[in-house]
Amino acid sequence: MVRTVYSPEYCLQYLEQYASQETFVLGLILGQISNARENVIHLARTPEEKPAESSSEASFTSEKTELEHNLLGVSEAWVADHARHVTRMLPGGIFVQGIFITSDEDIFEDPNYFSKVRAVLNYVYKALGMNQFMYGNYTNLNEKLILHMSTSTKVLTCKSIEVGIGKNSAIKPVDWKFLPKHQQWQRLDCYYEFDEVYPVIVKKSGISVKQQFQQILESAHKTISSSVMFIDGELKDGSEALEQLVKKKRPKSSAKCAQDAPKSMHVSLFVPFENSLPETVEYLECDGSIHFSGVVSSSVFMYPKATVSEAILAVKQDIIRSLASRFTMHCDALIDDNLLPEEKVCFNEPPRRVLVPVGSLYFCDYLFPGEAPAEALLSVKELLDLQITESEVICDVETPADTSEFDALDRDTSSEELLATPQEASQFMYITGICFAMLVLFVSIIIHYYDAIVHFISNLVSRS
Amino acid sequence: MITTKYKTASLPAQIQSMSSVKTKMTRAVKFIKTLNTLIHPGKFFNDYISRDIRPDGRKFNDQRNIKLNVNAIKTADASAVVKCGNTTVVCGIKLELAKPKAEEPDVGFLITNVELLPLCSSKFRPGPPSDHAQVVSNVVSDIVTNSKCIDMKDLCIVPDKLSWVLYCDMVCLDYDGSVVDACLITLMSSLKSHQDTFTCAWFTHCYKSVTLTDPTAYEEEMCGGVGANLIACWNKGQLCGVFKFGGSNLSTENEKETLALAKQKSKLVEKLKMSPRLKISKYVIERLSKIDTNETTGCLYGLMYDSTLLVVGLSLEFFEDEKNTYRQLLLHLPAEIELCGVVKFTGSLSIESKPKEILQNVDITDNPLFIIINNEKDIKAHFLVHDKFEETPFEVLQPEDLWKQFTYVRLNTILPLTCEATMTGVKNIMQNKRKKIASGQVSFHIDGSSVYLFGVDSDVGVTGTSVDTDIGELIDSLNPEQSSKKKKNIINKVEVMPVNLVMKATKDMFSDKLVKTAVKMMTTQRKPAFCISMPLRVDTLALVHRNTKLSELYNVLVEATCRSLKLLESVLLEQLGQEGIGDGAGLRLPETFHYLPQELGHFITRVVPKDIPDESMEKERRILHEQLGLSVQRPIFRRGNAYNFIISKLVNPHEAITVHSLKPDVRVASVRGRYIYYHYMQDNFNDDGWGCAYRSMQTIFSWFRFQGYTSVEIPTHREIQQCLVNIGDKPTSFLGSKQWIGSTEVMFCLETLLGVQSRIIFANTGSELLNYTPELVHHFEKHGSPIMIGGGVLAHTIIGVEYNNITNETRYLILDPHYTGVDDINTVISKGWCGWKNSDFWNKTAHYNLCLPQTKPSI
Repeated sequence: MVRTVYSPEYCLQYLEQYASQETFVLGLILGQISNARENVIHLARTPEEKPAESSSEASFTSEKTELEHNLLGVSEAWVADHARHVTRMLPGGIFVQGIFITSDEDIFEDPNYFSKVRAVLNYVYKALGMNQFMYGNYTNLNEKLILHMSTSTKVLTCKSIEVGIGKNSAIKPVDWKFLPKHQQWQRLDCYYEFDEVYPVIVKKSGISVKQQFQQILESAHKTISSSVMFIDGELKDGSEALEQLVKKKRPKSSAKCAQDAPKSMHVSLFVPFENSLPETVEYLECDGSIHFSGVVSSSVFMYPKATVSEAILAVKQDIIRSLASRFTMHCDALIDDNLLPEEKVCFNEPPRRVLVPVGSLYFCDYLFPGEAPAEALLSVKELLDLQITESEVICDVETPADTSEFDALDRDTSSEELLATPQEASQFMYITGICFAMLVLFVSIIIHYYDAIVHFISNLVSRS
Repeated sequence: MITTKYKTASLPAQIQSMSSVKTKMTRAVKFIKTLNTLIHPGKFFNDYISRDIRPDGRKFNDQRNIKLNVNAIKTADASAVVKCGNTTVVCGIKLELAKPKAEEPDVGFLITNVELLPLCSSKFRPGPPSDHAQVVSNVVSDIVTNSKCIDMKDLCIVPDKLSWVLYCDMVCLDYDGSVVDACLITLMSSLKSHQDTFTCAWFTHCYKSVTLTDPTAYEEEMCGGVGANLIACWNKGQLCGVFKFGGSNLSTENEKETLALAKQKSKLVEKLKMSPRLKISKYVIERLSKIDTNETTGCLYGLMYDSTLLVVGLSLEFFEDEKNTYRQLLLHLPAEIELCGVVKFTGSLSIESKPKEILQNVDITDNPLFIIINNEKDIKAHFLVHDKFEETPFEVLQPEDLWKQFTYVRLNTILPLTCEATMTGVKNIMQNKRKKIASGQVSFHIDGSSVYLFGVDSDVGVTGTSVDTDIGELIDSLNPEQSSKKKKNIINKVEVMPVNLVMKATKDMFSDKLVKTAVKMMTTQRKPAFCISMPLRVDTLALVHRNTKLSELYNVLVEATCRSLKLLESVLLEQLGQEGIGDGAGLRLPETFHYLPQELGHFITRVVPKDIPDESMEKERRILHEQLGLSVQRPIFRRGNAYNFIISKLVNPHEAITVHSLKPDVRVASVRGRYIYYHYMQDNFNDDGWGCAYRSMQTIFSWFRFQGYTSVEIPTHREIQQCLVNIGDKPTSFLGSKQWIGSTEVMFCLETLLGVQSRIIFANTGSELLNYTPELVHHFEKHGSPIMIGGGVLAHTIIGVEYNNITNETRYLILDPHYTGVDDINTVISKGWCGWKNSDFWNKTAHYNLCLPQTKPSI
């Protein structure tokens, strides 16, 4: 059966717009594959390479300026970089499915061009597969899409090739269909909470923030993949379609409601404890503790006919992917990678997630502490080639970490040691004070009754 | 606002479908309901009734929950508080003396007064009693006098001179319909608490086209007010009055139906007794009668089910140190078993300060139990009701019933634990873990099913099965083949439902406390520091009645987990406090063991540090033995004694033999404790025809293992042969051969491998064996180990003897190792592979050797 891809109609307009400008354009196809259907959600043009990217490459880029509007002049690394950055913005279950090209050549016929396309796709595939926690590649299908629109004839062709297996993969035709209607999406929401304390174990080589994040990511991946997921508080059969769950809940009488946008489903994850540790007590020397806490908000969009198990997978991927994105972005921006700097308490705050609208659903972006939502507009413009307004960015899915909380904790840890001593000291003071008071009392009594006492003693002496 | 109103008008259908599956209604639905009752009262009500359900989700004939507390007010002569659903009424009775009326000189007075204060409902205003209050007051008065449940003549002390006046004041605290019911229940309860007047029961039925039992205020209003209700009075199954003051007519069928219902319901109220009924496990009775101690006091442990208190355990209280030993002991008991009272081993009903303290710590019931045992071992049970002792009869729960009615739930999980290697570090983290578990953040998963239990916060308490399922049903559905077999021979009577734990990792979307702070990492330096990290295995039990609803199980499991964590914590802290490993370097993993001592009839859980030999923990065990009043002659709480939940082989098959009633003069002595039935062909090893003595020895060995005398693995045939070669009893060629062995070889092996001495008895003929019967009886009573007997080419295991003093008749309980089939208890019993044999079982001509393994007193 020929692979069929469904795409919203605005993608056609998007392509036509570029094709009519008669320029060469390359971009990414973002979409979701479920057993029920494959949907394309968005096409995002790869931004043009900036000539002044780095001074050392200046000569290289200047040479390329005239090649820029040609497929052969495209740098694979640049496209792959774009794909990597875009993947960070995708919720779970949505992947970079391939590339689109508008040009006047027939890229499928000319072997020169086609080998370039293949090279780009392979490079992208490799780049996305580098970090397993990013879930860059859809694992069940290694065939990437190539969508081509001829600038001269405006003819649209779509094919797929298998990537990651070398040079001799076959080209398969793909049936690309445009949907006149808006595609419905089932939204699944959850807040995954972290609240873990790890010991800081310093090896000889020292420990970096990056390594620590990697460890956290690995353990989170392990727990999340083993977790049990409930949709709206109930355990569902994995083979059931999401649509079915909604229908069951809704009685026949209110057919009217079915027209409304489908409500979001609430997902809860429960983690079973498995024995991964050896059956002994490990005793380690450590240099302190790490408290990793906070939430990862997750909003996943699924094709309503997708099954529950596909949705579960997407949610789990989303949480890990989001975590991995934050960590990568944080580490990239980090100046001092040492986990244990001079300060007693050190705080690492990765960027937080915000949602940005793309068509009828939401992708996400990350804001560093102190960044305004406007920053998201820039990356959306550049990476997704989309114009949105600041008010459309949903910023309150997560809140930035409260620094006062951090201050309080800082004080806590320092006061812990301080507390013990003053208490003891005050007790000591108390006792000395009482002793001194007693002494004064005693002396004053003696002074007051001095005469009487002397008299009494002299009496005693004389009697004996 | 307007839009919501019209949208929600079609909601009842939804609500109905929801309540039919018994999901908890969400807050939103509740809100909509209140809204509807205000906006479209009539339509809303009709919508429900036409769908055969009532607005609060009850069926037409469902009664709301009734809660009753008697003698709640100390200043009143008698009092009671009743809560039927939301309707709450307090009744106080005051007694006074007065002169009877001249026209009725031999009759006392009963004056009722019902007050409906503005406090209880928005319907009532301050000021003089409303009409409603007066009507209710009159109705109550009429019912009490007309039903003759109180004989007014009894209230007269001296005719025409002096009689009692009962001022019965009933104050409604919360008005939600059926107030007459509530008033009558509380009035009768108050009266009953003073003297045993007989019960009178009554039920109002609100009437529309259908009959509604126990209507709420809203329903009453819909049906035309309190006056439209039909009130039927029943007294001990006899109709004594029907009241109806207005409203629509009743058809004859409806009236009949109503009366029948009322009769049925009246029994329900009769059942509602003031103090919990008492049952005492047979095990406790036996232990109490056998106990021989200098201590004066003990603690009783029990559980509540179905408004009955069941006492299942006891311990002795030493008052040695300030620590309350019972608190620590409680942690060793399965969850749900709580402190429930005190037992005193002296005859008097007085109570000293210390036991009184214990009584004050009883949380499970308002009326702690106080049992007195006099020197004649008579047991008298009392409930402490408002500082007064009330003697109460009790029922003895037989062991079979205990095992049949109750089941154990076993929770198994591993909590990863990483903390600072200090006592405070451990304390803090354990407290955090307990907090987390108690916070409703966990869910329990029943192994082998898709059933998950959730905490109170979630809208669904149970998923995977209906909320109404009880534990017994679930267990039966999990192992269907076992339940069918149950009719026949049961040996593994302990039923255990395995459960594990999953921790909620996501936050509640709608929670008010939702903090959405993005992930962050804080590193705190502290040098030098040491941390410990270990997988903490939580393995804990809870004792629950089979009728317990799954939805009630959640809290039980939380409690069980917390108990286990406390126990684990105490073991960790104890180790950290010890010299040498104070820094945590030598900390050992705590291991949990469950014990089921025969005498106790309930589990005891112990946590011990891994790899610490049993011998070095004798002190702790001795304390436990003494606390529980167990014999200090033999081990009970060693590792080997621990109860094995999964054994593939048959354990104690003889327990499945139906016991016949004993004749007088017959003494039965049999093996004490558990053993494994070893026989031919087991473990894919073909020893048919030569291995019987080996198998018999393995059975004996398993007995020693189970009794905790050893932790040595059960030897294989080859190991037994090796052992005999090593001690020089057999040549090397014996190894791997198919030569059989006899009693002496068994004795040698036991001595070499276990250090167990054995006595050997020689009998020249089978008939001569009879002479040794008293010795066998003595052996089982003193040592309790299985006996190996070899004669001719056959070896058997004797696991019991029955001896008739008069006729000198002896029967032997034989475990036959020559069985070659599969381990099926039914075959083993019905074919007599394990069973009672007469003395002619022994060959008259062959001579027999018996090996009687001896035990040494130890714990």
